[in-house]
Amino acid sequence: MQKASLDTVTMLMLPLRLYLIKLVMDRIQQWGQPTSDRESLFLACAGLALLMTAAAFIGSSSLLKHTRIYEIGTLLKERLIVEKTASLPLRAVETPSVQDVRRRALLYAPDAVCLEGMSLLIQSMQAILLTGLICWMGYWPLAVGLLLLGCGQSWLYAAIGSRLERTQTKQATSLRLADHLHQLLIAEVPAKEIRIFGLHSLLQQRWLDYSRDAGKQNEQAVARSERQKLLPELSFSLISGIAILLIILSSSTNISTAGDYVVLFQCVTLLAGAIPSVVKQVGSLSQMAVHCENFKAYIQHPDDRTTYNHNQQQRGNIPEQASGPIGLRTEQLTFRYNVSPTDRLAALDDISFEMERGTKIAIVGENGSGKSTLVKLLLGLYRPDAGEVHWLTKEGNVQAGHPTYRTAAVFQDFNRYQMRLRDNVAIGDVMKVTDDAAITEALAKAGLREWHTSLDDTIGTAFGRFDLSGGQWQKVAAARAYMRGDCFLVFDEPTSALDPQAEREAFADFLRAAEGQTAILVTHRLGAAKLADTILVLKDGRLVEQGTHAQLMTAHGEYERLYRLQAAWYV
Amino acid sequence: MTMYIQRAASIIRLLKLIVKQNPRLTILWMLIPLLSGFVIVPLAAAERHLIDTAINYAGSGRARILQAAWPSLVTLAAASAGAVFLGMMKRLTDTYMANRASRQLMMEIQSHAIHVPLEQLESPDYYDRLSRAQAAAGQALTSILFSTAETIRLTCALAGMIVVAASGHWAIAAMLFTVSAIVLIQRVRLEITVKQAARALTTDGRMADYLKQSLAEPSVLKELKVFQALSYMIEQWFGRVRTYEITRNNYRRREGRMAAWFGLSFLLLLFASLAIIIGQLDQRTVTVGTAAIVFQTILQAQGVPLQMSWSLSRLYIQGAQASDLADFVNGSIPLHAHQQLAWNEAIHTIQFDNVGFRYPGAHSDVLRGLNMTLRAGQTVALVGDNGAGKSTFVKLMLGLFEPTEGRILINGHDIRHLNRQSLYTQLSAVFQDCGHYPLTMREYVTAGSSSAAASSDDREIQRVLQLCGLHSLAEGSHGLDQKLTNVWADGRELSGGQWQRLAISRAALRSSSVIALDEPTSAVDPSGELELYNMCKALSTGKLAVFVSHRLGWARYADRILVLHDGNVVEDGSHEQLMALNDRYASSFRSQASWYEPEQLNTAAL
Repeated sequence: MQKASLDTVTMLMLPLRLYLIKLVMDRIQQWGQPTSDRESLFLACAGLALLMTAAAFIGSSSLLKHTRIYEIGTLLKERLIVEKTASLPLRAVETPSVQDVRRRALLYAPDAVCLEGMSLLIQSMQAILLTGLICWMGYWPLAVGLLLLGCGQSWLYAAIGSRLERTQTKQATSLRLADHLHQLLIAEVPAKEIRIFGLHSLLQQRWLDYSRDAGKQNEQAVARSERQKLLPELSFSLISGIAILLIILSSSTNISTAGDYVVLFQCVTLLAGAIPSVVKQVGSLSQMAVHCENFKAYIQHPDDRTTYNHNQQQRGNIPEQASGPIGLRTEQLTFRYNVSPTDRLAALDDISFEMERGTKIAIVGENGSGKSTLVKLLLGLYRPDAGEVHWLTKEGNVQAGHPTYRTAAVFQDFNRYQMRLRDNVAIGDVMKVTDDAAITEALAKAGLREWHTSLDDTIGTAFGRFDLSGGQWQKVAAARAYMRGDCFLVFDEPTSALDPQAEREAFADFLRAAEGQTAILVTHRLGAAKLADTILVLKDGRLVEQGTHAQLMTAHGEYERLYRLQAAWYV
Repeated sequence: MTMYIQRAASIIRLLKLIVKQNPRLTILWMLIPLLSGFVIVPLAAAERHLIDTAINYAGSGRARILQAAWPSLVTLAAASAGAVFLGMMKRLTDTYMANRASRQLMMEIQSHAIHVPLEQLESPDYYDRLSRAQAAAGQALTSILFSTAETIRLTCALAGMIVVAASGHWAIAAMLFTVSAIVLIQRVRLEITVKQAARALTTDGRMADYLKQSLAEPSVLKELKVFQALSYMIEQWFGRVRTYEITRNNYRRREGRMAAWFGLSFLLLLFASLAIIIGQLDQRTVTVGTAAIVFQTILQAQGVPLQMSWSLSRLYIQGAQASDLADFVNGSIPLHAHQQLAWNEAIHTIQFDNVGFRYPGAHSDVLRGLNMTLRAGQTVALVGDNGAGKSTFVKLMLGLFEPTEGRILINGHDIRHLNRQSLYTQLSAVFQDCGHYPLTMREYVTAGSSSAAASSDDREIQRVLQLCGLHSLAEGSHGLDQKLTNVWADGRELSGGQWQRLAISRAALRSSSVIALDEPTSAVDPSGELELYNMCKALSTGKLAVFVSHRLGWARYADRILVLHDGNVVEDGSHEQLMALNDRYASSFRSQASWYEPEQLNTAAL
């Protein structure tokens, strides 16, 4: 919000301005008398006019400076936060507490701090100047009283300001719940359920309760802070009244001119206005200090070392990309999600295996067995809690996630970017974003051979004119992975929304595109898994079986049991 | 010009809605800024009197001065105290008003979403209007209320200042009014231009916001890290943000340049007023006090058009959203007057009599010419490609949609005349995307239970949960009081498969005569699938069960299979009959079965 804050020069012009006003008022008072000096009145007016014109132009130029500060400040902060989020380890980003810290860090506004700080400085100096003038005119007890009260107020405001901040953080849970319920009640998808089961009265009642609760907490907090501010503010205006009383009473002894009174009134009024505003600025600066703390807390969060370094590099020069398939090795890999102490399930426990370069691996297991977690560890997105994950390359063994080796994945929750079709696919290899041939080829590999739009059309309902179907989006996501020929490829069950025919085609496309590469297919359709070279069977976070389809069928273990279960539907 | 009037009208309509529910609060909320603005009049009058008293009684005794000055002193004290109180009250009423208005309007939107016919809710047009109304009921509403209160206060403040100026000379008041009006109009127009270049209103800005939000989502970050495309996305975002900021700040700079001219016009006004006052000095109709406060007031008046331009421009911009909200909420909800017959018997037959269905506003039918009778005790499988109309069929059968052609008869009664609430209690369903409700497990699972005793029968609940494979959840540390979803700090987020099993448990706990299952196992893994299939089979004994599935393995064991293609039922029979027919169903089945053929290990078979 733009505030017409005082500039230093304007402030310095204040005494001169007051002097001229005094002159004008004195001359007005003497108007009817023989000693009146009309010329000097006009001169004084002219002088005043000149001074104020100058102030107007100076004020406008300071506004321009403010805009520039605002521009730089906002852009800088936003960029810092976005880059920080990108460089955090994935695990941190998934944690709700880190997400909360990020939300709070966004409230920080460095430009506002700068401007408020400047403004505070100038206003305080003006307050001191006015106090000096009042003392010079002989009413020093007044000035002292006003100043003391002002200091007391500023301390109080700071305390109230930060307490209000903290309350707002606490009401977050009720608000979140109310918001979640409201979204459910108005969304299309749950509407069928809500009608059939008559859930609306329960959900609406709950929403009302949480909403009222959050509202009441908020209102109580505001009321409390207002009550606390009431007494200081009242005493402040009363002091101004007392000040004026003293001035009046002293006129019985000192005979001053009209100009003196007017200037004195002006000073007292200005000071009475300046001190509360200084106090408020101190309050808001203290709030901003809290925001600054939050911002720093977020920025100082530890980075993810390997991938971050790569992204730093990419802005400068293009690093040398090693090619050739990689092998995988894990040793006693263990990983746990940070959940509450009561849910002590290990996501992965003591997994060890080794795969040669160029193998097609299928990872199978029931839901919750840890397949997706294993894949993320193999891709280097998570760091293990214990044990190791290595990539076996021609140049030697490196830690999983090393930036020189390319990876590609189609996840279950693949993203539908509301951007151009070109961008959606070229994410797989951003260097080729303008290479139409490469993009078209990748789309063809994913099974999308004709489409009725150009690559530069924006797809998706947010900014585009139309949306793709679920199946088409899945093919676009797969095309992303097929952009580069030589990388470690992962396909993590992205086909749950497809009908069986489309699913088969997707698997076929994947295996074709993974020719010569190391590839992982995560699925529970064991009919597809048997096409792989090796199958890893996970159960409850442990690797229970490993081998080819034929081997596992003769082993009569978990795999064979699952396979027979699925085959039973058809055979 | 008409735009301004239209927007003002929308805001007034919105306020009328709020007044109806909270009359006293709204009046208080409007009165306080009014008084707050006018408090300047007694304040200025008291000051003038005090200055004059001080000058006129200079040199006289204290008692005399006090006697002359005390009324003004009291007025001054009262006015200052009043200003402080009003300021505090304003902040309080702003908060109360924002909370209540927001709650009221959100509840209205919810009522619309709940009572409007489902086919309308699912049509993109209506849903778009709902989303826009929803967006307006959030931040925009609070901002509209605040800006309205500010506008009222500032208008009254300006009016008060004009009154004070008139105490000098009416010409001064007239000039103040004119200059303020001109400066205000210029500033408002400028402000509106700046705001229309705002982030939420321009494509660049909205895209920048979307990208920034995506760059904080774990699923996006995960994908971009894998493809090493993070820097690319960040540059895309930053490029747009910079464009947006530069455009916006250029407007600000223009404003800064114009600010000097606005200041000048007030200066002219100031000295013109001084001239007038000086001119009047000969007639002795004005005092020094008057001169002083007129001078001071005009200086103060300079800030008013600036602040008013902020509130007015905000109101203009948000007037568009106000109209979205007001129009949506004022829209009528159909009363379903024709749905009078209450229903409380078990359902034996559901008959489709030449039924056709088309979404409102669509060009073609989704389903047409459906003729069949479904009976209790039958298990019916609905198969067909995506988009063939399977889900629509289920919604028609459950009475969620009304057919646009033909009739649906429940036990011989036309569904159009039946009271839906009571009908639904006889139905049960599990849909593909079940909502993640922040409730306790017990509440979730019994929300739809028809038997009153069941809500306290924990053993029954435990039994059903056990059957659905959720015993680990049910026996967790909080048992059935475990809160679901991680919206709560101590809540538990379930996996997709667990949510689906929970939804099936809920359907199981309800004793109904008809059950529909729309792809209930899409998120469940194969061994879970068998378990669930058996569960569903147990659930469906004696009932009419319709399920929709891609996996033809399920369809195989149904009593009757309906094959949908292009909006029509093309095949209807048992598995053996359709395999013998050797048409669409047979070829799909063989294709799915081929995955599990014992010796086919080559990719060429796909």
